[in-house]
Amino acid sequence: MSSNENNDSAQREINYYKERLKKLTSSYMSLEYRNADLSKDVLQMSEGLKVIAELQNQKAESNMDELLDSLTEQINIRLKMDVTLVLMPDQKGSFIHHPKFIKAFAGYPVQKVKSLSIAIPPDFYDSRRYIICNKGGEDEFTLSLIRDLDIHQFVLSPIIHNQQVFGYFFAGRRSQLLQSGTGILPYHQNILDAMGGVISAVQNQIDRNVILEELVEERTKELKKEKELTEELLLNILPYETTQELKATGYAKAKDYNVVTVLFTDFKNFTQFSAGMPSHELVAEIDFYYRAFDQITAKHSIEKIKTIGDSYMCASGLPVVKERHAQDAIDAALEIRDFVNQVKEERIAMGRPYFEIRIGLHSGPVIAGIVGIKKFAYDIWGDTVNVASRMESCSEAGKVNISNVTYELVKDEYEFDYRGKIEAKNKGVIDMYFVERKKNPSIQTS
Amino acid sequence: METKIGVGASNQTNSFAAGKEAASQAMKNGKIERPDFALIFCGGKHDPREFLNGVNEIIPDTPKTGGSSFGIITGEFIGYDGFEVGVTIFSSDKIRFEVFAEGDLNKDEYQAGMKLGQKLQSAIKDDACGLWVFYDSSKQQNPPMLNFATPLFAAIEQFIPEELSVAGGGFLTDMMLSTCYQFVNNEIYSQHVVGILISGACKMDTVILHGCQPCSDYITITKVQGPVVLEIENKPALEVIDELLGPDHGISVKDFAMNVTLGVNRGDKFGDFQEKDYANRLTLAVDEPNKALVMFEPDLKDGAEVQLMRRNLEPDYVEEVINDLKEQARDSKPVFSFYINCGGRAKPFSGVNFEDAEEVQKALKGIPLSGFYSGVEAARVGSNIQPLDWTGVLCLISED
Repeated sequence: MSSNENNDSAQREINYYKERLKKLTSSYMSLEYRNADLSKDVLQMSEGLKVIAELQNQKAESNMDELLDSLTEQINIRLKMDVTLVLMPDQKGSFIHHPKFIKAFAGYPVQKVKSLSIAIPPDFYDSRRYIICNKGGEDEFTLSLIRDLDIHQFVLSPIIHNQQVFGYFFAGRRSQLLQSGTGILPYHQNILDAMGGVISAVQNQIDRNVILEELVEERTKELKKEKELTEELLLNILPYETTQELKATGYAKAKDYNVVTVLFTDFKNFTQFSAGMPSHELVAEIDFYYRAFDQITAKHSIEKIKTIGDSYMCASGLPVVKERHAQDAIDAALEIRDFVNQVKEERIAMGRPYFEIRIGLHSGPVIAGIVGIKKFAYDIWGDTVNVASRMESCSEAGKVNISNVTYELVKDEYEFDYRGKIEAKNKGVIDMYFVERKKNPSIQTS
Repeated sequence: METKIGVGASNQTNSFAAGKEAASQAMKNGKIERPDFALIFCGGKHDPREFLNGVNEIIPDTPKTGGSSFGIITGEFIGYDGFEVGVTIFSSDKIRFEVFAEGDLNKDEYQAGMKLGQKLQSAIKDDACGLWVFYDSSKQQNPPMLNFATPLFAAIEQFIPEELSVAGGGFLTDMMLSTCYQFVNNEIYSQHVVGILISGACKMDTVILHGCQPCSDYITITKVQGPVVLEIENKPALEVIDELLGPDHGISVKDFAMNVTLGVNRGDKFGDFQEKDYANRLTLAVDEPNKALVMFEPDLKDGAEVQLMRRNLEPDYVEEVINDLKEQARDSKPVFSFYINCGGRAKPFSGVNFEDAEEVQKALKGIPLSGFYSGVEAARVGSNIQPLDWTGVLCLISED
C-alpha cells in the first residue's frame, strides 16, 4: 500500500471515529440535558407525594384554616412555586371567591391580591374543571386570573368536598429569564387534586366533630340541668356544707357543736282542729304555715331540721357555727309568732278557723349528722333537743318560751317576762322566760 | 474561650420569620453566648430587609455580612428554591473577621476590585490566614449580563499576599437574574463586592471541586465579544451546539443556559485527560436574535479551542478531594467548613443523579458546615485567583 493510500486510510479512520464521537456526544449531551429537566420534575413529584403522605397523618381535630395555611406554604416551597394561595368562596356555594393563605416571593402584591373578589364563571364552577396555563390565556376567565393574580404560568385546581367546590388551589411561577423552565405540568395538578382529596377527608372529619360536639354540648346541658335539680333536691334535705362533704368524700361525719339554739313550734289544739277538717284541706293549711316558717328561718340563716306532724323543728348555729345563734333563733321565733298572730286576726275577721302557736327554745350542745343509707336526713341529737322540746310544751299560745340558758345569752337585747321556775317533764325545774320584743331594734341580728 | 460556631437554616416563606428562625437555630446549635460575627444569606424570593430584621431579633449588635444567594448549604440542610436562608454565627477569641465593601461593580469591576484591594492591603496583618470575596453577580441590564469576576479578582490580587488563601463567590438570586443584595452589618447594598478578612491563630485551606470531562472533539471559537460567543467554526454558536446535540434532541435552545459548558484545555491537547488543566465556562444565557451563547465570564477569546464538557461528578471524587483537604489540616483542629457551590451543580440543574453537596455534608460530618449556591466561584489556581464555573470551592478553617 502506498503512503498516500495509507494516509487516506488513516484519514478515513479518523473521520469515522470523529463522526462516532459526534454521535456519542449528541446522544450523551441531549440525554444529560433532558435528565436535568427530568430531575427537577422527579424532585418536585417526590416532594409533592411527601406532602400528601404527611397530610394523611393530619389530626382529626385539625383546624381547617391552619391546615390550608400550612398547605400553601408546603406547596410553595416543595413544588417550587413562586405564588400559592387558596380561593375561598364568600359563603358556601357562592361564585365570588377571595384569595387567602397567600404565600409569595418578595415583591408580589400580596395586599392588592388579598383584597380581590374573583368571580368564578358558573359553568366553570359547575363543571369542577381545572386550568393549567403556561402560554397565556385563551378564555376570558384565564386572562382575568393572569391579570388579577399577576402570574402567567399557573394551575387552578378545585378542592372538591361532597361533590361541591370547597375552594380552589392556585399555584404559579414567574417566567424564567435564563432558561425556558418547564412551567406547570399535569402532575402539579394531580398533586393538588390529591391534596384536595385529603382536605375533603379532613373537612368530613371536622363536620363529624362539629356534630359530635353539638351532641356532647346538648347532653352536657341536660346533665347539668339534671345535676342542678338533684343538688336542689339534696339541699332541701341536707345543709349545703353537708352536701359538699358528701360529694367530696362520699359520706358526712357526725359533728359535735358546743352550743346551738334549738327551736320548736307546735300548733295549739291541732288534733281537735284537724278532726273536723278534710285531710287535703288540713295538709294545705299546714303547708301554708310551714312555707312561711321556711322563709323566715332561711332569712335568719337557721337550719330547718324537720317537721313532725304539727311540730316544726329548727336549729341555729349549725352546720356553720355562728356567734349570734341565740339572737337569730329568737328573732325567727318572734317573726313566726307575729305571722301566726297576724293570720289569726285575718281569719277572725273573715270568720274562718285559725291556728295558735306555742314556741320554745333552748341553747346547748348537740351532735349533728346523717344516719342510715336510705331516705337519709340531717338530724340533731342531744339533751338540748329534749329541753328545747320541753320549752315548747311549757309555752303558751302566741308566746315564745325560752330556758334560762338561752336567756343568759340574749338577756341584754330583748324584753322578757320572767315566768319563774317551772317543772319540765323529766328535766326538773327550769327558769323560764317569755320573750316579748327586741329592746333595741337597731342591733343587727345576723 | 473555646471557639463556638453555630449554623442555622430555614425555608419559611415569611422573610422575617425565616431570618429569626435561622439565627435562633445558629445560636442554639453553636451553644453561643457571645456572638462575635455572622454570615447571613437569603434566597431571592425573600425580602432582604425583613430577613435582616428577623436576624436582628436574635443578634442585633453582632457584625454581620452576606447576601442574596441561589441556595443554602448547611450540615443538615440543602435548598435552592428561593425561600432558603442560612445564618452562621461565630464566637471566638482566636479567629477575627473584618469586613470591607466597595460599590459600583456594575460601572467598573476592575476599579471596584482596586479600591477593595487597597482597603484589604492596609488591613492585612501577619496573622491573616484567609479571604472570602462575595460580590453581586447580576449587572441588572438587558440582555442578561453579569458583573465579571475576571477583572475584579485581577485587581484584588495585586494587593494581597500570594500565600493568602482566597475563596470567592458571585451572588446570583435566581433564573430571572433578580436584584441581588449584599449585607454589611445593618446596611443592604446592591452592586457591591464584600471582602471578609480572616485572621488569628488559625489557617484556611481551600480545595476546588470540578467534575467535568470533555465529550466532543475540539471546536474553535471564531467570533466573540466579551462574554458573548457569537460564532464557533465560523457558524453561529447556537447552530453549532444545536448540531452537536443531534437531530430531534427536543431541548429548547433557551435551556442551553446553565447547561452548555465549554472547556479550555491548557495542558497537552492530545494527552491524557487532566482535570486540573481545564478551565470550564458555563453558559449564562442564550442570545437568540444573534444565535449566540452568553458565558458567565468574558475570558474566551477568538481562536480559543474548546470542547463541549459533560458533567461527570462522582460521589467518590468528592470524598477523595475532601480527604486531601483534611490531610492538609491534619496538624490543626478543624473548626468550620464553608462551601461555595455553583448553582448549576445542584441536582435538578446538573443532570447528575446525586447531590454533590450531600457528599460534602457526609465527608465533613462533625465539622460545622455552611455555604451558599453561587453564580460564579473563585479560588487560587496556582498563584492567581481564578474565576471558575460549574465548580465547588470548599474552605476548611482550622485552629492552631
